[in-house]
Amino acid sequence: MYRTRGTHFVLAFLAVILLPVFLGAAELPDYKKYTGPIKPGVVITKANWDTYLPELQKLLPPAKLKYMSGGIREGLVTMPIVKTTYNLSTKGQMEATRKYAGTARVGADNQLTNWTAGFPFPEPKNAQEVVWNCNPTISRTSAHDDLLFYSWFGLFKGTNYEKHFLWDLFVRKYRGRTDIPPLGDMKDFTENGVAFKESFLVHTPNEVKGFIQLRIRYWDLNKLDEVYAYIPALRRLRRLTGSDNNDPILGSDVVFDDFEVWRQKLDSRMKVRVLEHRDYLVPKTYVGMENKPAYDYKKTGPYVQVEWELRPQWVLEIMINDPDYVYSKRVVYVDAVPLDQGGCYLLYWGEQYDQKGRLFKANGQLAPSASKEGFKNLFNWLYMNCLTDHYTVMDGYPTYVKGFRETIPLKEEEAFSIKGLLKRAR
Amino acid sequence: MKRCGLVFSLAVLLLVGATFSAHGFSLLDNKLSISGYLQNQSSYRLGYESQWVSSENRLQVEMVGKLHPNFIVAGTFRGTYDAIYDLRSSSGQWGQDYAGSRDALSKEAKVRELYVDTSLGGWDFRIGQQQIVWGESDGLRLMDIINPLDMRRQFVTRDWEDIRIPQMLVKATYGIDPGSNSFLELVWNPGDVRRDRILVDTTMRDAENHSPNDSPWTISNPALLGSLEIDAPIIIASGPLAGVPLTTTTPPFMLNTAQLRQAGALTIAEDDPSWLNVRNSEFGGRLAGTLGGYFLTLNYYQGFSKTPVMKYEGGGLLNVGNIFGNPDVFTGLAPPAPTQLPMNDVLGAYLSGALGPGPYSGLLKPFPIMLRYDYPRETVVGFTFNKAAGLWVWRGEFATYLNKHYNKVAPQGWSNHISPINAAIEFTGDLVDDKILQASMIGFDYKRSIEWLNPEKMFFISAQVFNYHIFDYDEELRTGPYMQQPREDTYYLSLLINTEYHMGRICPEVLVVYDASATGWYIKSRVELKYGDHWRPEIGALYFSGDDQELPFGEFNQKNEVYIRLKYQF
Repeated sequence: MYRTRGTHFVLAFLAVILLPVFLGAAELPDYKKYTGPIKPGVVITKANWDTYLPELQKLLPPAKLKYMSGGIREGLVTMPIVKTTYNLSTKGQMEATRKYAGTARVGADNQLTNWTAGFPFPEPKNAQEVVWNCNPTISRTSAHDDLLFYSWFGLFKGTNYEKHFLWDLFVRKYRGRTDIPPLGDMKDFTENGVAFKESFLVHTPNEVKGFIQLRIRYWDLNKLDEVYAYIPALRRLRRLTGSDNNDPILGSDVVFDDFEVWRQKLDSRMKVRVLEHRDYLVPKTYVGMENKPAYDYKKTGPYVQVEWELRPQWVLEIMINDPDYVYSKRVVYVDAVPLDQGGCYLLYWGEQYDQKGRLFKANGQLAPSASKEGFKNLFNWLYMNCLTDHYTVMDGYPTYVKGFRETIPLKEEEAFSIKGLLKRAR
Repeated sequence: MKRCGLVFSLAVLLLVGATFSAHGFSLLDNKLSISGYLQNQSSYRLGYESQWVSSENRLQVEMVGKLHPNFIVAGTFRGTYDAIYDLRSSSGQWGQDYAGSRDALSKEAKVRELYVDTSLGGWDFRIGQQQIVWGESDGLRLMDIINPLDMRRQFVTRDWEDIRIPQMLVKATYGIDPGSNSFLELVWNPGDVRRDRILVDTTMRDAENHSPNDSPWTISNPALLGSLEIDAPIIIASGPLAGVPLTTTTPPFMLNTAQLRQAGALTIAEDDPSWLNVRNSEFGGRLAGTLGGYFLTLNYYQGFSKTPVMKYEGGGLLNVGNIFGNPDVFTGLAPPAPTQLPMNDVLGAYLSGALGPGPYSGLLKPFPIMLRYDYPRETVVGFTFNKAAGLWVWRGEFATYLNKHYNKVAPQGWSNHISPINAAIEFTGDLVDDKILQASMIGFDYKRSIEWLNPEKMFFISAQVFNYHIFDYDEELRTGPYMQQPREDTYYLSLLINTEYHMGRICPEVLVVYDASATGWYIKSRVELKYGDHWRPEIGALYFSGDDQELPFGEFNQKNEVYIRLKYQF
């Protein structure tokens, strides 16, 4: 009897102590503000790079530091530090966040439940809640309810240009729409469980001109993406596997699971924890097309001249725990400015480690964009292979900042159906 | 010197290519975009005929004009100049073998596609010269039946997008439900009837020798009335042609049908379909959508066969002596029967059986023997499916040809002997029959990372099994116009593997197709290099194996090639 009671006590004690660990639900670490010499007004150049290097090692993620060192040391760009700016999210997103605050939950299987719209956890208490605030499936910080993005992709080996391709990207989210009609949950979500659809149309080069891909992602963790492509060389539609999300696209460093830093579905095997909560150097968000940073790959290669600001970040480690997956873990950097102060849980940067533990790939913002109405996206983005120093740079703009009225809301049948895909096919 | 010519040809390509430094053009505020490519592809024939067989230069210009958001015009122009006809001497091996195909293959310039896209009331229309492709199969065509193929250069080894013959078509697509991706597509061809283009030698020459118009890719002579073997010698007995044998004088007594054909005793007609004749309309449709994770299409098409059957349309050998002025010929009879009679009388007696075997009542009709390359109307129904499962995509395609036309012969088979030819005419009436043909394909695409072979990119592996089954099969069926006996069941297997190295810049691919029924092989291997924005060189090899003259691969047994392609895209 005594032994049984004792066993129960020990089990109960362990459960209380270890449950948060098992759930990854440890309290978030306190914010550590940076107080070093790098502050607004400082310009980091080729001349003073080495001087500031010890500080930069604290303020830049490892892959970002490696990347920037190439551009600065070669004198292609500088890093002017400016005062931190804050841009509120869209009106609809903020209202929904307030309206549904406190209702969403994250289960032990890492799945989000009872979420309706807006940021699910305006004041996150643990790593899982931070993760869901920035999860691209529901986040509106890199693609809002609807997105049309015109993009140029340049491929570089180091600073040497190799080739490029052009595509138009269309994205629509079917759940928790807050700003672009139709609002709320769309029929495709309520009836079919569609989380988002995405299509892109390649314009250049000639060899793949006219390639179109339509991807349908389901909310259900166990339901694979449905992917169709129009292949110009075949002149017909072809079903593609929805599981090759780590296969590079068009010879670039881009893989689907790294879109928006981290597109991989969050599953129950993954373990998430917050490594740090402190200031990092982050490219400034540029508001409006008129403020888009100039970029000429012939002059600066894979580097974009932008201004930098100090912003608090949550550094999340996501252990993938799948030996068959290409990565063993991801480390992502998430904007930690409170929502009401202009934060948006922007996934600024992510770094992926291979199964041998090597820093393999990284990607993230080079120049975030926003419209005056608070629609956030990007002007420039970088995908990098840290093992080979190969870069793929995106340069483009979302129609949030130019041509919004003419393009948004997107037309469902034209952008996200096979019929629409065949209409655009040449 | 000739090799210098090839090098010169490539150099010209380089220089011209250099003038297109831009990556396509956009004009009129991006309303008009122009792109395309310039390329040289030179092929070297291996084996006993080893020699350069082409130096094909091609300019393709592709244009899209957005005249209005709801009115887009797109077109493709292609000009081809095969420099081999100028680089190689008309004498010597080339002149002996292929120089006669200059008119057919040396130059070509045409607008391949020109169509408009517009929408009205939920329907999307594409109207004009275009390609419409249905189906799920690679390498063989089951439901891809709308446009014919131009196989005059390297047969079917090129990308079909390149060799499909665009037609004037109207395509209308109506979206039923975007959620299930369901749509209805209707296709109407208002009479722009086109046929497969393949160079077939119809000069009735001996298969071992080249005829004057042969190209490097001409299919050898169909064994159809090559030389007509009859039962008796027919020798002119008197007059200026006395002693001239109309047949050989020793068995088998071969009648030279090439000469007869030239003289008009045998005619082979082929329609030249008038352009846009509504009476020749072709039409069809497909209903498509997703169901339970499957993407399904139901298809129907009614159109004209792209390949011909040889149709007998009457006539025989009676009175064929008129061609020669009806001279007396030896009857072969012993006196007191007449030993000489007018040729028409002798042929009449011979065909009616009075002079030996016979009667040959099928041919006991006035000359000429009238044959026609007939492209009959055929109806195809079927369905396709695809479904993804992990890294696998399963594909299937099932096309039922409700009235696939074949040539048909008598039970005794087909040869050049007058007896089976006569019997075939008597037995079938027109040498043509139609059967239900079921063409089926099951295949998969699979992506797999094989790190020790390629650490940076997955392998794409695609395999297919094809079956062609003829219902109510007859041994007497023949595949027109080649008079080859089809099998009741024919199987093909295909395997395609490709990947990319060096950040997508070195792209090897191999395609293997095995004809399990005729034990023939076709292998195409190639490596394309994608360095930079413009240049896309490629080297490749085509290998065929199989029994001689066995279609589709054995026929090309001696036509293995290696090629080098230099392409500049803009």
